[in-house]
Amino acid sequence: MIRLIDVHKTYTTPFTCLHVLKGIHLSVRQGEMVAIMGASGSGKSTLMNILGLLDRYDAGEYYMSNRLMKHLSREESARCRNRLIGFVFQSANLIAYKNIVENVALPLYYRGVRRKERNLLALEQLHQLGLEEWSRHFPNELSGGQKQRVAIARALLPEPPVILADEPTGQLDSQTSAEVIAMLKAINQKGTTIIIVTHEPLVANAAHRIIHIKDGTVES
Amino acid sequence: MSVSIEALREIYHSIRQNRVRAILSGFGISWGILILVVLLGTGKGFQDSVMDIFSVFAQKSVYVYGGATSVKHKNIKEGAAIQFDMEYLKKLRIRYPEVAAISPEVAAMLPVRREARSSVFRTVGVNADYMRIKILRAKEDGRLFNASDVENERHVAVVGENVAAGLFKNQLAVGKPISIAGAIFRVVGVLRNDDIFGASEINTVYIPYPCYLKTVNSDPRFSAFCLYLSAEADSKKFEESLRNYVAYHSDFSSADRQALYIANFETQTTAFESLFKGLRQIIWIFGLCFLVSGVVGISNIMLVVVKERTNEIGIRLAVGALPKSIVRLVLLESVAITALSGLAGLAAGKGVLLLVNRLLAMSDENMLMKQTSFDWLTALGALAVLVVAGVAAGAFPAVKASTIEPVDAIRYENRG
Repeated sequence: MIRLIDVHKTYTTPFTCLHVLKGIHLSVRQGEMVAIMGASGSGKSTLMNILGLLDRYDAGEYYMSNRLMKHLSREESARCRNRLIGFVFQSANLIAYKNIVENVALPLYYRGVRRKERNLLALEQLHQLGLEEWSRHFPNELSGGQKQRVAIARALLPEPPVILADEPTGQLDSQTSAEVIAMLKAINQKGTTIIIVTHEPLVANAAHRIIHIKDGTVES
Repeated sequence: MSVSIEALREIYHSIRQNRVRAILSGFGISWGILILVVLLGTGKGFQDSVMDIFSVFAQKSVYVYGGATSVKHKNIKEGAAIQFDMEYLKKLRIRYPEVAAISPEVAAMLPVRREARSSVFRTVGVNADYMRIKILRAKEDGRLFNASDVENERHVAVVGENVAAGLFKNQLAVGKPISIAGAIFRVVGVLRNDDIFGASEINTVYIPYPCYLKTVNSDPRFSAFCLYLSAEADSKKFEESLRNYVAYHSDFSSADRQALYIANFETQTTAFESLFKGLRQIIWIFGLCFLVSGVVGISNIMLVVVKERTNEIGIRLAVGALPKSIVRLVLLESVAITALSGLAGLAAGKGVLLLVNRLLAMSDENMLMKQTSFDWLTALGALAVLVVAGVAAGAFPAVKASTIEPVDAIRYENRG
C-alpha cells in the first residue's frame, strides 16, 4: 500500500540547512494500522506531511498504491489527496461558518458531487458514527472530542484507502482519546489503512505495529 | 473557469460571514459609481438640452448679414453697405441647388395697435420659408403663414407670446385684427415659446415680406437673409463659396470680413458636440479615478480575508481543493463585493438623478437643463468596468491565497 525508499527531506532557510529526514525506509500494508512515534523534532510530522502529499521530499521514492508519488504538481497532489487520503489533524480544523454536515461533505464538494447528494452522504456518515444529532450545529457548539470525531467523519466520507492521523488525540483528555482511538480502530477493521502519528504510548499500543523515528531515520 | 451555483453559494456564505466588512470595503466602489453616474447623468442632460436648443436653428441653417466694406475695392470706396434684393436671392438659389429654403429678413420697431391698446414691437417681414429655417411653431389654436399667404399678399400676422398677451390680455388672439403702421392684419397664430432662444421671438410680429414692402418700407433692398441647406450639403464649403459669390456680385474683397457676416449654425453645433465629448471623457476619467481608490480598498480587504482564512484555505487544500479553485474563491468574492456595491452605487446614483429631475420639474424657470439623462448602455459599461475592477482587486490576493502551503496553513491555527 505505502512504500518509502530512502526518503530525504531538508528544510533550507537563508541561514540554516536542516536535514530532517535522513533516508526513511518504510512500508505499510493495506489494512494495517500503524503508529509512528518519536520525540518532538525527530521528523515524524515531516514524515506525515510527506505521506499526506502536503509536502515534498528531496530524494528517494514514495509509492502509494504502486504509484510513484514524486514531482507532483500542486494540482496532481491535490487530486491524489482528494482520492486517496483522509486527514485527521491535531485540532479538528473545521470551517467555522459551515455546519457539521457541510464540513463533513467538503471533500465531496471538491469531487464535484452535487450538494444534495453529498449532504445526504455526510448525514449518513454522521449517523454511522453516532453524531447525527449535531449535524445542523456549528463547530463552536461542539466539544473538542466531538469536533475530532466530526473531523474523522470528514476524513472517512470519501472512502479513502488511507487515513492519516497527526496527533489525533493531542488536545483531548484521556477518556475522549480512548473514544477517538476506538473509532479509528473500528474504521480500520472495515479495511481502511490507518497511520497515526503520536507520542502517546497508549494510543500507539492500539496499532498493529509501532514505527519509531529517531533523528530522521527509522529505528529498528 | 466555470462558475457554478455551488461556487456562488460558497461566496454568499463567506460574504454573509463578514457583512459589515464587505459593506464597508464596498463603500468606496459604491461612492465612485455614484459620482460617475451623477456626473454622467447631469452632463448628458445638460448636453441634451443645449443640443436641443441648437436644433431650433435647423440643421445646416445659415444666417447672412450684409455689413459695410472696410477696404476700398475696385472703384467702390470703403463704407459701402452690402445689400440684397429678391432678385439676388433668386439667383443664389439657381447658383446653389443645395439651398432648400431661403427668406429675407427685414425688421422695424413699430407701434402695433389693438382697439385701445397700443405698444411698440419688433415687426419682421419674412417669407414662409423663414418659419421652416427657424423652426417656429404655432400654438395649437393657430397656424403659421404659408407660401400662398405670401404670394397673395394676405394681411396675416404671426405674433410672439408677449405680443398676444400685451394686446389681448386673456382673450383669444387668433382670428382678431391688429393694426400695424396703419394697415390692418389678421392674427393667424401665436408662437410657441419653449426654448431660451425664443426670448427675441416673444416680442416679435411676423408679417409676409410683400406686405412689409407695401405697408412699412418700400425699399426693395435688405441686408439680412437666412437659408438652410439640404442634408447632404457641406455647409463649411457652402459658406466659403457663398462669401466669394457675394463678394464678386456685390463688388467687395472676399477678404473683407466687415462686409459680410455669415453665421453657420452647423459648425457651431459641431463645436458644441466636441465640447461635450471632451466633457464626457473628463467625467469618465474622474469617475475611474474614484473607482481606483475603491479597487485598492477591496484589494486591501481581500488580502486581510486571505490572511484570516489561511487555515480554512489549508483545510480546503488538504481535502483536495485544486489551487485554481482557491483562486476562483477569492476572485469571485472580490468580484461579488465589487459588483454588488457597484450596483448599489448605480441604483443610488439613479435615485439622485431622479431627485434632480423632480427638482428641475418643480422649478418653472427656463433652466438650461430640462432633465438629467442616464442611459442603460452607459450603466452596462460601468458594470463591465466594475467586473474588471473586481478581478483586478482580487487578482493579487487570489494568487497569494493559491500559493498557501496546506502544511503551513493548518499549523497556522496552532501557532496562534
